[in-house]
Amino acid sequence: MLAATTASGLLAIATPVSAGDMSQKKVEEHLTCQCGCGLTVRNCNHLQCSSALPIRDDIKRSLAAGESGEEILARYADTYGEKILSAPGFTGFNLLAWTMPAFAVLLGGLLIARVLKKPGRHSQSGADPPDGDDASADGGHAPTRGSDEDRRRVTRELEKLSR
Amino acid sequence: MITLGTLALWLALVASVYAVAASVYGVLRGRADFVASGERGAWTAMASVVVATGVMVHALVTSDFSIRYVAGYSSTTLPLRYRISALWGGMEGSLLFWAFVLVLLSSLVLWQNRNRNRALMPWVTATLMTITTFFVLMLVFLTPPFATLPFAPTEGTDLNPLLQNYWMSIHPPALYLGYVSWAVPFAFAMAALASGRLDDLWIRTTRRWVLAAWFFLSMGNLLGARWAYEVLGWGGYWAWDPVENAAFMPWLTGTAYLHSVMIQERKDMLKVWNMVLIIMTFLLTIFGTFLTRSGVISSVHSFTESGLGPWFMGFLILCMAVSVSLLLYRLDRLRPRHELDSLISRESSFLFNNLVLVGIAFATLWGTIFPVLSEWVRGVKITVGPPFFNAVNAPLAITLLFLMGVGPVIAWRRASLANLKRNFLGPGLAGLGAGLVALLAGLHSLSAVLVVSMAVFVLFTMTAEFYHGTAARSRISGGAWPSALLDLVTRNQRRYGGYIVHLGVVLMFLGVTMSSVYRVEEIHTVDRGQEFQIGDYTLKYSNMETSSDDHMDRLIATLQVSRGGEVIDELKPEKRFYRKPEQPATEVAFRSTLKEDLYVILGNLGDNETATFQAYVNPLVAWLWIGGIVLALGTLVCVLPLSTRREQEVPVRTARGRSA
Repeated sequence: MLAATTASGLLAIATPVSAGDMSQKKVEEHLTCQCGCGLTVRNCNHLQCSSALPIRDDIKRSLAAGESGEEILARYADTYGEKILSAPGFTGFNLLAWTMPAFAVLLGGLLIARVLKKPGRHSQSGADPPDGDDASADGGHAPTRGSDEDRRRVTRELEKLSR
Repeated sequence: MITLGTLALWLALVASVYAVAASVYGVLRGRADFVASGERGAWTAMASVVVATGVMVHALVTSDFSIRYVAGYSSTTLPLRYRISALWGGMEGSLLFWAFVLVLLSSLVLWQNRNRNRALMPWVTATLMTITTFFVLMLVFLTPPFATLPFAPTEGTDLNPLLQNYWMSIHPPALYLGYVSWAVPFAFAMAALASGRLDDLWIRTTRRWVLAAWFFLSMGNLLGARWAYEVLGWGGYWAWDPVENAAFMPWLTGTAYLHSVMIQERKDMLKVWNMVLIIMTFLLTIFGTFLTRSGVISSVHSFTESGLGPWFMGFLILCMAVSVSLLLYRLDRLRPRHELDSLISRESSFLFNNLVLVGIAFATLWGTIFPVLSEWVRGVKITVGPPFFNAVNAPLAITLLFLMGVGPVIAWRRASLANLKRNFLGPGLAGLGAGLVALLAGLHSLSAVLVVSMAVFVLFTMTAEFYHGTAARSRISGGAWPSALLDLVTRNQRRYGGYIVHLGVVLMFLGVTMSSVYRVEEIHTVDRGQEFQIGDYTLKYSNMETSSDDHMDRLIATLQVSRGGEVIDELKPEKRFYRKPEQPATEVAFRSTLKEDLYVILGNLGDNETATFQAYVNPLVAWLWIGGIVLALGTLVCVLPLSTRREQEVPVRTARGRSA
């Protein structure tokens, strides 16, 4: 579902929410259907839904009458409470919802950076193990070119080891 | 039979408790007889749970409505396959099924290790039987599946119509196998910590188990998405529902472990981190079970609210306390022998991959529990839905796609400029070129352009790996390219199987992105004989027929599908009215091609056979499912014994720098 994560996330990036340019679809996506389906007004799967259908109609009328998407969302939050919004706002305690993941990842990144900056860090091992048996796994070392006889000899030795 | 089922559960409880006690006593006192006795106790517990499950399946198949569970989740008219799948359709049955899967896997572990890993096995047995004890305890005291009704009704209430779908016959078993399989590496990790055998023995022993757990969890998630696509009827497959998130989180941490364990195997590093990831993944599987059964968070997937929440929370805390204590106890002996050399290296790219995967898991967990936190702190109920998860996880997921192209080919230790140039110049240029072509071709969405560009970058790095490897093998063996390719893959299954998995993930990325960004939706109310347009398609509502049987009434609309004036297909979306419980349900109809899905739902019905149809065109969505199949094939390549040769293992280096 990583693909779902990315794609839907990219969707969010591609169509950022702002007060002035919210389309019918965006406003519907930012409201949770109250029928108990757990989906947004946009995605409610009940075609005769007593919640999603009137809300969709109301959004259509309100946008046509010049009300902005943000104003519509605020009106619904006033009427139903915050729970009708499908994502927390950017104020007060709700700000924590947005900032904590970024903070956690940043902290992890700093930890990795700290590990990398440790004084005297170097591998105590000798050469690195190869990746496998193919030539593309050179581990950063330039491939050496040997004769066909060399290759056959190496293969024979590897076969012996594998037995 | 009911008495047999109840007695079997009681016996399972006693035997599993005894298995834990005898195993721990035996290993601490060096008493082999107690260890052996503990294992026999485990076998007894496992057999008992199997018997109890058998009794329940028999009761469901024979419609023994004197059992409350059978009366509540099946009926005489329910098809046989759904009567069997009713085993996981309700709270009690699903817990019994969980315990059943756990004992099946435990018995496999005990049998596989009857003559090996003897230093670890008493602790493994104790851990697995502790988990079994918990689930059997729930079944005996809190949600007894064999509870009876005062009188047996002549007919049952039936299974929820949404669960009467073939995907629900396989999605939960796959998901449960995925969840429960993580108990095995967790048990071995705990055994390594408890016994002090902290070398890579537990990792080698559980390598295939981990891959199997990851495979089933991947399939469980994917099949669930397919079920949502076909049954829920909103044209999508993933809604960031808390229960979907619960299955996604252990998949993320498990994926992180699959990558980071390679560093431990090759460089003897990240031992603590790998322990943390295994512990985290197991705890998240228990957390997922807690979420669906506690009633703490409302979800379309939840079972009815029950009193199990505090018990699951208690068990979660117990597991966390014991595993973290053991980890801290052994911390000194888990210190890495080697350290990272450079930021530009495969080790670092794997670490960043871990950071991103765990970051997405944390963000998902945080968003899932935030409504509960808000209610506790502010007393205000809020919703955290798709807009939050999309916005927070997007940058991380994009980074991950990029790392998927980098990680497999960048050099170990320290990448030289020559290495970077050799491995990334071509794929990088190809990715940029693909992005430009996508823009010129009219893809207006930044997301689509980015994903196309990244996907091509990853595909080129993967292709180059296969090409160079096959060329080298062909030179060495002098064989033809197809046989050289086969030889290459079978000689290093994990590596090339992994690449195939990456290929599957890239296809899934493309499918999801295009079907989300370029989805077209139309709602039309039409009379019989009228047409409506969606995308390139013209849909003509040509007929409405009815059908009835003992189980349900059906209204079936027929839509003639044309494109460019030519009739190309016929779709038959349905509306079903189940008799028990009296509940309507939609049955979507769709026409799937590699290019796009035409997806139609039958909605309201008016007078004179007027009907409302909701139709979608979902571009490239088939590639999500194809990507899933490729991912499954790649995992099988990693796991299955395809080669008769012993797979070449890279030795783990010891503290003295010698090969072990």
